[in-house]
Amino acid sequence: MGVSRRLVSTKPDTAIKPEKSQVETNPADATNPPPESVLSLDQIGQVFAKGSDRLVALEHVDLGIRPGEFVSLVGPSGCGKSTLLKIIAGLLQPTVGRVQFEGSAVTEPRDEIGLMFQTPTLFPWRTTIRNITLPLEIRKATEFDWEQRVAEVIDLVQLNGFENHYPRELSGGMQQRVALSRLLVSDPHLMLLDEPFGALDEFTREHLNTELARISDHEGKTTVFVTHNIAEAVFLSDRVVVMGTRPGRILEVVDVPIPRPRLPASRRSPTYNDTINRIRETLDLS
Amino acid sequence: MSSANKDGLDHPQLKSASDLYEIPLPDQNESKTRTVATQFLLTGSVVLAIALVWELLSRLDPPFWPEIILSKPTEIFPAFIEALTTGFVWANFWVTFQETMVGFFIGAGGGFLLGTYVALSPIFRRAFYPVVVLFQSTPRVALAPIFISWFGFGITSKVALAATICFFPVMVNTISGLTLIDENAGLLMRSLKATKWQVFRQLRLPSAIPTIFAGLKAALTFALIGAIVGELTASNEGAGHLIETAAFQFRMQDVFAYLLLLALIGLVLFLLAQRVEKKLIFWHVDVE
Repeated sequence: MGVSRRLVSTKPDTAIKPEKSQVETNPADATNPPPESVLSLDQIGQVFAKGSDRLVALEHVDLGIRPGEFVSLVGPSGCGKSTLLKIIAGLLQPTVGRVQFEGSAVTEPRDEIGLMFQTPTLFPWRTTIRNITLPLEIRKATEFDWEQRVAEVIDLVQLNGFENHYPRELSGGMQQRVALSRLLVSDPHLMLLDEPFGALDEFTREHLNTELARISDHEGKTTVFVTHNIAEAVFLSDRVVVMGTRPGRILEVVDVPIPRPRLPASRRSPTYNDTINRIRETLDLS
Repeated sequence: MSSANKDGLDHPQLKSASDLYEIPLPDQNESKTRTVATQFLLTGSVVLAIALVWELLSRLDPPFWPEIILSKPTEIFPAFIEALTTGFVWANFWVTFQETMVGFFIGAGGGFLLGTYVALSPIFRRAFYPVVVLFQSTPRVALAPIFISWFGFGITSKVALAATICFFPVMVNTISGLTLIDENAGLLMRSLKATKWQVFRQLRLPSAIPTIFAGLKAALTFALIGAIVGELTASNEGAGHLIETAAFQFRMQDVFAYLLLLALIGLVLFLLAQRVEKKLIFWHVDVE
């Protein structure tokens, strides 16, 4: 687990280029993802047939994501961000284009790719700990020591003392912590988070974002985070992919040059506000 | 710690904030027993009031209804006590109870198995479902004469009727419980590459249990109805037979005594089912 990975990561390109090109405005650059990208989306297009009508949910989506990078997909509802996440997860086959992860095409769900939803989706008949171990049970995982990993994850997500509670005994925020633990426990190489804190109140959401930033720094996993909350995306991400609707497409990919680790104070930095405004502008113009 | 306030009433007075931890609060357990007691008292008074009005109306001169139609509570109650202490009444109710339970286990078991099969096989579901709905909307007690002519006057025809009536609610609820599962939970299982059996065992079955159990509870009552209807149609034993004989002989107090006994048996079965349900579906909030 690369604890040190992100703490030292400053992207060389952003450091050299003048300020304005912190923003990768040219989508053509993304067509050839940098060689080091671990996840690459290649000309993804998704069309749904609705009777005789056709709904283009995604058009020409090109994106390369580096190992350990935290990337957010931001956009209004209907921009296809959740659809894109399902495609990356291998749950949905794109109409055209392809997804590659760790060198091979994603055509079905894979063990190294984990998923988390807006709803906690816990099984109410299982206790916290048994919800967390569900993926290990399903996979009949034998390759590592369960108990140690479960204890580690519970520590990391701060669920100590709630191991034997049932979901209905937990608050919404706590339930999402359990869902996050369930995702982390099987040690995925790629985490896909679909508006995980979207249903929570503002205070809980902000608190959990701080937690997620800490956890993310600790685990150093490649992460794709879907949200319609710009501030949240900026706080967490190395890059923010701004998406537009009709058809769903990438408008702009914005770098977030806020140093890591991300702490509550990061929200008060000028860069934080500048980046938020930069994204707002893009969305307003579209 | 109480003292008179402006409004002249006694209110607890706080001397410091920490006093809040010492103010005596009503005992939770005590208030629970009190609620149960209140419930018994309330329901008891309603029953008593009905009995009283009933009794008074029967004792009017001329009576509100002839005794041959409706007997008095003061006659029903002794008849009930007598029924409780009579061996052959118990023997007959025991027959009905057996018919009900055997019919229930056959019908509910079959409904669950076939329902599971239908739920898990989409083609089977599409083929079967319209037929199920057709049967579902047929009043199945109307099958009683058919079963009598197939299986005779004995226990078998009643068991068959009880089983047929139980079968459908359990099957329908099993199908809907197993098919209507949370979308994200389904996606989660898919993303974990769960096998069909794992999805069934870990997700479908547990999420379906509340729905299936609702079907089972309905089926239990239906089974009793089936057994009784079968006995009323044609039989020489059982609670239905006792009721019919007593009605023929205008022993109205006995008819009502038997009905009361049946109602109590039904109630006991229902409460038992609820006990099992609470144990089994501990995570479900609206079990009540």
